Amino acid sequence: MLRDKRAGRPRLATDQRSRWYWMVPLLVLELMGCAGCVKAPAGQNACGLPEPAVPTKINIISYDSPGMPFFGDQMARCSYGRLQIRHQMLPFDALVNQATISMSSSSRSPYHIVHVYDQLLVEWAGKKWLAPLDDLITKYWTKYRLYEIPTSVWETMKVNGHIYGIPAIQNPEIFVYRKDLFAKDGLVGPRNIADVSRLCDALQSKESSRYPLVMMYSKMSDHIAYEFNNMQHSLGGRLFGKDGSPRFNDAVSVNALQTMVSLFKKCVHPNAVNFTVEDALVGLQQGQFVMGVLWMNNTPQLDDPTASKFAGKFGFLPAPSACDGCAPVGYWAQDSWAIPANAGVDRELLFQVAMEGTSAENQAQASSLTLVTRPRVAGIERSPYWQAGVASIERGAVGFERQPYAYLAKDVIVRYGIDALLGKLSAKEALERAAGDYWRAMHEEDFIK
Amino acid sequence: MTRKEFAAFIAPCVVLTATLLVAPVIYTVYLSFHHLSFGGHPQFVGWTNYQVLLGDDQVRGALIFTLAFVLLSLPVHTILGLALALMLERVGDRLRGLLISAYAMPFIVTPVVGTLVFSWLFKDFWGIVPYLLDKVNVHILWFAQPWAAQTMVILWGIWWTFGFNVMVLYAGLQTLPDDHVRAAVVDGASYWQRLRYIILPHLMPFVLLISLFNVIDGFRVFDSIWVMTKGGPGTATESIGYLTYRVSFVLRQLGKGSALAVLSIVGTFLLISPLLVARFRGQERD
Repeated sequence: MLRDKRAGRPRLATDQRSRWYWMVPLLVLELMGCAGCVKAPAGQNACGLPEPAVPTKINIISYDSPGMPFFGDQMARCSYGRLQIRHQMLPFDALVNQATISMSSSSRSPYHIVHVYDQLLVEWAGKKWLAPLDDLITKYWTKYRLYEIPTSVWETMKVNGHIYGIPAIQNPEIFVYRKDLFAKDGLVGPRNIADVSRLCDALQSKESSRYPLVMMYSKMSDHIAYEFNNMQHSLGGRLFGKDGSPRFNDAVSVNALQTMVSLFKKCVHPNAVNFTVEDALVGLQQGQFVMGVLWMNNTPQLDDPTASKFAGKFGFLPAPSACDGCAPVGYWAQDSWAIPANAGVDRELLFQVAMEGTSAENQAQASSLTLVTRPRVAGIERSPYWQAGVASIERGAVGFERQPYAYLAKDVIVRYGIDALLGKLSAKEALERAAGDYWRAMHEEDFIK
Repeated sequence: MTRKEFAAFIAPCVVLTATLLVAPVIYTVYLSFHHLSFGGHPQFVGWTNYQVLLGDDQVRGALIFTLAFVLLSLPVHTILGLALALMLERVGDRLRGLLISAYAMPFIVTPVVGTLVFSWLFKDFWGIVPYLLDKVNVHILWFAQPWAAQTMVILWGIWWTFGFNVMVLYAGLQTLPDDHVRAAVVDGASYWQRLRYIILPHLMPFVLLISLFNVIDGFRVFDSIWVMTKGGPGTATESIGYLTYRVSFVLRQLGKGSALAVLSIVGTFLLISPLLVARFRGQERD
């Protein structure tokens, strides 16, 4: 029998057992951790992809956005034999930074399939960091039923006449409102911004809410720049001249920003200048706000009874326009998959992997989460959010302007737009300063020689 | 040990330090004299980046906020740390263990998670701070008013740092020789006199050390701002660290971003140099 040296008492068998029993949970955890790195068993080629001649690793990165991580996981299920596919979700900013660094490098990118949204697609394709996909799209047009994706969506994937993205989901902004409060006060949904302003008056006078409206006039994720772009586009303005010169300080643009400032001062909570989308959603879920313009893919959370006090009480409409007959003051974003030009892996194989993950069958499954790019499987009939989103798109919602230097304008619009909302500058002063800084940056960055 | 043997022993360390610390700094200085975007080639521009930055309102604003962050939070979390360290000496063992764990929490928790939870305290509709202030009829827009957002970030700085200060100062108190204190008690010194003439002088090197760390950390502050305010409202809470990130990775101006990084290194060095001199003199005296 062993002796415990410290106490001098006989050590019991249970003591010995306790010494290694604590390792059991660790062993279980380790086995669980390893489950993800076990190779797909030979003979289970779930996607029917050709097995590469040499061991090939494919890394896919996506950020949190309804549907896209699901498609990424579906791609990872295509691992087979020598083909190893791994999908990793990153925070949005981390994805942008890591992809920027790896794609701008002269060596091979560690990432092979990258989740991008329309702005990134334009910027990265413009810098020739992405591989064009035209030939592969033509080749696999029938096999992957790519004809089911509308031409208008394919157009948004084009930069300088070439297609750089495989469109997966669409995300327009829509108008969200509390049906119960509107019905109680005898109000109807707005068609334009003037209607929204009148609704504010009505809701404030009936003390339904001090700040009835939530708009993403926020610095977070550059939202205010998108909202300015939407308002300006709806009023018929443009951000840039043909030579890249700023047009976001012209009379139409000043009017657009002034309209935003008026709406903000009248009915939007002051903290909205730093709201995240979650802040806006929680405010609506908890009844602080009555209406707002939000990304359609976030709206199902409003009807989630586990998170929302008012599930089932929300109505959804297309985003209102700035004037009668104008385009909606709402953004239309597309999320897609792109292949880095320096991926260093067979481009055709990467394309096939991306297409397997974004197949019509997988899109049908994801259509309960998001508006997928194939209308045939989009479940529009079932969902009130999707209907409002599709209507926003059909009425002319657009994305941010598609010039490679647009990010420079976005930065200054965010900076000075917030100053205008906070009353530090007038709308005209803010846009004049923004235009001056933007034009200087255009020269510094060699966009203007 | 011969010179050759000595060199062989320290060579790996020297190579590693040079590769991981010195080389990036030299490359940053090199880039600061160039114009460079991701995917491009560096073009020499001389002092242009520095000239542009030194005349830029954004840089001036970020510098003022960073200095305010460092200089306003430093005395508060140092005094708070000292008070709590002294208190720890006077409580029972069990409670001391509990308190030490609690004080350590802010810097044990992942910074992003800690900051997120901290910022929730100030959120309008569910935060405890606006709720309590509301009870006494004080309404502060923590995320919309520049001074309020700046205060919130400074409060975060205090919350994040004071625990570390408590640990260091409490450790310092453990090294205080008992006989000095006993002699003072025999001589009839009151608690305040012991604090003034024995404890504080003994803790001075520790205070210098934590001040040094706090100034350096203060100049690097980034993640809390990133999570809480993204530099907003407007640019009210943009620190030098955050601005460096924005210039480098949002505006993709790597040369300018490098120049800003070099300026912040110089600024940090200027700020800590009196502390370094004091520490060096103290060591010489010892």
